Amino acid sequence: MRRLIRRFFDIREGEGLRALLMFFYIFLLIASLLIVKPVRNSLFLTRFSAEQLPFAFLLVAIAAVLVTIIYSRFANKIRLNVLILSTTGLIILQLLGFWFLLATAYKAAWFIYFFYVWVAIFAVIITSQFWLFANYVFDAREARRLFGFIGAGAITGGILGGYLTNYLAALIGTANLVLVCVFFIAICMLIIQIVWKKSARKNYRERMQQQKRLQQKTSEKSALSLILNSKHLRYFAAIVGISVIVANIVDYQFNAIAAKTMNNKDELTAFFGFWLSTLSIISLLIQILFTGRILKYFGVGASLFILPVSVLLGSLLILFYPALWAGIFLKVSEGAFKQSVNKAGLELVSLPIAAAVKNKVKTFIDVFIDNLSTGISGLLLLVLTLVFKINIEFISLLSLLLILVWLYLNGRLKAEYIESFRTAIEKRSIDLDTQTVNLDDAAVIDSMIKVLDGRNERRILYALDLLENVKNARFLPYFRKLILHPSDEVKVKVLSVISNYDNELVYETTALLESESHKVRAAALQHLCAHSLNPVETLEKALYQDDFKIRNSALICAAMQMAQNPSLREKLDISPIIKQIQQNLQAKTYPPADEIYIKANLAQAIGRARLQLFFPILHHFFDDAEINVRLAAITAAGRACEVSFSKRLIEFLDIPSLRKHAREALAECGESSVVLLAEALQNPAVSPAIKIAVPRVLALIGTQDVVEVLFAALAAVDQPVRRQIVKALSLLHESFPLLKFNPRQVQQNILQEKQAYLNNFLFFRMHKKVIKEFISGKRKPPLSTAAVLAASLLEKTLKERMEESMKRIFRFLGLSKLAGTDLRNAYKAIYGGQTDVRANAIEYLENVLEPDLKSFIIQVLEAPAIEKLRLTIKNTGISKQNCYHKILTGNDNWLKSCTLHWLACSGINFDTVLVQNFTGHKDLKIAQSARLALQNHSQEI
Amino acid sequence: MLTVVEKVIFLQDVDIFEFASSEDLSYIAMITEEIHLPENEKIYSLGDASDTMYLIISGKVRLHRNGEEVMIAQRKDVFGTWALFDDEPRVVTATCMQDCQLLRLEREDFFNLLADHSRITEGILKSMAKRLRALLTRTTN
Repeated sequence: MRRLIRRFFDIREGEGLRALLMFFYIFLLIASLLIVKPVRNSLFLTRFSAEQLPFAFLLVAIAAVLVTIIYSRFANKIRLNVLILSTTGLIILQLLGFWFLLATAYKAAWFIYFFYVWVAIFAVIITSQFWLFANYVFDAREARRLFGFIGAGAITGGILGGYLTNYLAALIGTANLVLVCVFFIAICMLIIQIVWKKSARKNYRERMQQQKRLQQKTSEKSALSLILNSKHLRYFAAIVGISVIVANIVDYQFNAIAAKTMNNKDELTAFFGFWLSTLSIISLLIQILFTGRILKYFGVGASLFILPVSVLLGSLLILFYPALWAGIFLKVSEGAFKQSVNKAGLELVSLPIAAAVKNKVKTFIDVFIDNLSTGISGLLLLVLTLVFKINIEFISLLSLLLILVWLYLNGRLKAEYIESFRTAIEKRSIDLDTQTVNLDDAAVIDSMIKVLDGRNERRILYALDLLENVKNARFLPYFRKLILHPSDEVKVKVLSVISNYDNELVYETTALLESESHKVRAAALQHLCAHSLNPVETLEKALYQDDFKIRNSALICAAMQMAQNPSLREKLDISPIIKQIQQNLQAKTYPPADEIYIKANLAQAIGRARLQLFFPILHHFFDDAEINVRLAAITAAGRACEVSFSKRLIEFLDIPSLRKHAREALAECGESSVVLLAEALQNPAVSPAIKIAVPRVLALIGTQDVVEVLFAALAAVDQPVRRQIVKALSLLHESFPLLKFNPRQVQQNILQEKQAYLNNFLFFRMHKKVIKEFISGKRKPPLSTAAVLAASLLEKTLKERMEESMKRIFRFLGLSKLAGTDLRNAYKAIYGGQTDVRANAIEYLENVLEPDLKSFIIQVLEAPAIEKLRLTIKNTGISKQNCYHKILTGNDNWLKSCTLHWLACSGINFDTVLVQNFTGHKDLKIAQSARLALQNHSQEI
Repeated sequence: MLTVVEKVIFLQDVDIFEFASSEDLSYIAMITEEIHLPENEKIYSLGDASDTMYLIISGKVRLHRNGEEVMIAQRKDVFGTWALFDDEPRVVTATCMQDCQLLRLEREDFFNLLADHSRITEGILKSMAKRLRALLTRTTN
């Protein structure tokens, strides 16, 4: 049974429940849609004539744009599960309202129009929300395999919904069908909650970051300019636009002919229900039986021509025989090929478009082009039917004209596609994480084979990445050859790719178990397990092999399988093997050269499988003499996600060679390590290096708690830590758009930074005055070379501090109501050096900043140099006499060190008791400079 | 021995660090080791494994290969820079021409520092780009 499921749907261990729930989710959604659509159509056509349909098309276009604008504003601010649940809840309430009005036979014109438009918007929102949700439930690789299965849920939902309508319309009446929808959608709400808790929540944070990065990549160009600048995109958008206009004309003709033939509301509802479902079945059959074959044997070109040609035939039929059967033929030929062959063809031609561009352009095409075309079709139909009084059959002439243009554009698009694909493989610009379609086109297969047969290792790896979820026997001879490739990386990749094929290359894979590379051995074993009827037995066999290298690879493979599939934990016990390895390590029976690798491997297995019993081994490895063992133990501790490790991991932040791994491990522990990290940030006894590293870890965790922790720590920390905290807050704001930043705290910090700037500005001015006094001879003795250098260092540091404060003000402003990216651009423009760009940026700031802050920032930015800056400052008590003392009693350690050094070299009097206290400071720079100052002072005396 | 601040004052004038802030220079200063070598002492020889860069605080160092002088490095000059960026053996021998006071910078410490202070990396890249640009302009002219 397992093999059967895998063969058809490629659902792997641990994915079953998620895939099934998502299947039923879309199944119920589409079933509901296919119930309300016939209800809407029959209601409209029995209340009005088909001639009114163009008005409805126009209203749909306008309403869709408005709803999209409002919806996208909310969508970016609300957590996905809350957004979907609240939208679904609202839909249920609205459906109940519709049911009430329909049940009381309410037939006001506004209500019929409103219901028509509502169903169109409902269709767009629920399907787009579903696919958005699915993207968080599955990772990119899973999506490529499972979206086919889940898509089948949509098709079967369509079949059920339509037939159910056909059956129930006469039985319970059109109005009560709406209650069936309410029931289906309520079940969807339950599914959303289960799936969110089980899978989507953990992926959400990470994906939001990726999405943000994608948005940033294309932020410089608008979708329209991207389309206008690319031939490929121009043809693509034009084809989508024309196909939408033709689809609306077809819909109009079909509805008009049906309304002419039938007058009864329930009969009409049943008719639409029946044909919508039949359409889904035909679409499904075409998808299963023909789409793959058409793409494989005739290529993408043919797949794009089938839909327009079939609609052309249907339109000709209507032109000469405007009967109901001709209308059905037209609708079926349009609907069935659109959702199957044409959709696959369009997905394929969009493959060479870079993911970041596709992401932006797709939304534009789906929202703007689609609705604009719907609006245009409404207008065209209005003109033809109301102004020129043209009959239904002659409207086909318009379709025929449009189809000719469509066919021409298809030819151009195909040529562009082949060229773009070649370039994309050469440049490796197809984004592997976001491409989810199969490469089945004949021309594409030939290009891929050429790459696989070539010598360029990078290109081979890239092609293998693209083929990760493609199953085509033509590639097998090349995989057989590549499995013997000298590069281990290629071997590992081929093993991953052939996991799609049934029991292929088993002999060659078994031979790879003898490989010298641990990665190749582990990948080979992983492949053998995946194709074994009894993976536990296969793993156990490898775990008890004589060769310790195979045993080690088996151990890591077993741990990975246990992590992926919790049910394996009960069936497979790797404890005896770990104990055996531990004993062998103690008895030193392994070759010394292999000991490090065996320890690292052991640590990795314990971490991956989260084997609590063996956590003491990880603690032991933390103090191993070999750095690679320590690093492996740290990574494993992160994977194990155990709070007991967090304290040690924080300590490792103090050791430069371990810091990077410790940071990543702590971030992987996530929320569980936040409390300890917060303590480290606030604790005065913790070393500065740890404190500097902590904000970076917290920025990777990205929860609301982290924001609070960072704000709380801001006031009490030294400058370098403050800098890191502000940077971390900025990163959090960019990467996690749903986090909230308290405007009061942000404002407070902006004011603090402004004050810090002003203080440093005063220190700078006073310091310059003191130097002038030395130069003029007012102060004695004259400055030595060392003192001049010390004075200049202090001056430079004060300037840098002012610049940093300004930078942080911009960062804080980015956390407030102003958009971070705009401010970052303004900041870059101001400090970039180009005068005109700088002027525009200052102009921008003039318009967005609040008056108080504006006057300060603009004064600073417009000053040609800090020396020439004139600021009005209220009395701060900073004077020539006390400025150095004020710096020494502040919280900026580096500034203190520079000041102490200046005092040491210049002979200026200072508070010896205060400086004496600094000699034991834990910051070496301060202690050294303080000692030097006291030493020079005593010599002078 | 120099204090950290004194090392910073020295490092400010080293061209590879010209874009680093004074505080970032203090981090670099903390990982440098001050050494004193007598005249004629070999600092490293041709073909030696390379993992250290040197900065001259005082004295002169002769860089030579097979008896031929490649250059003479003096105060504020840096030598052995490539050691920070590749694993290739030394291509010259470095010998003290006078008593020398040097700062040594180990590759591993330097990379650990760069991993935590992206601003320093940014500054070094800027200065290297500036050098390359100057070199290109000179070659083109």
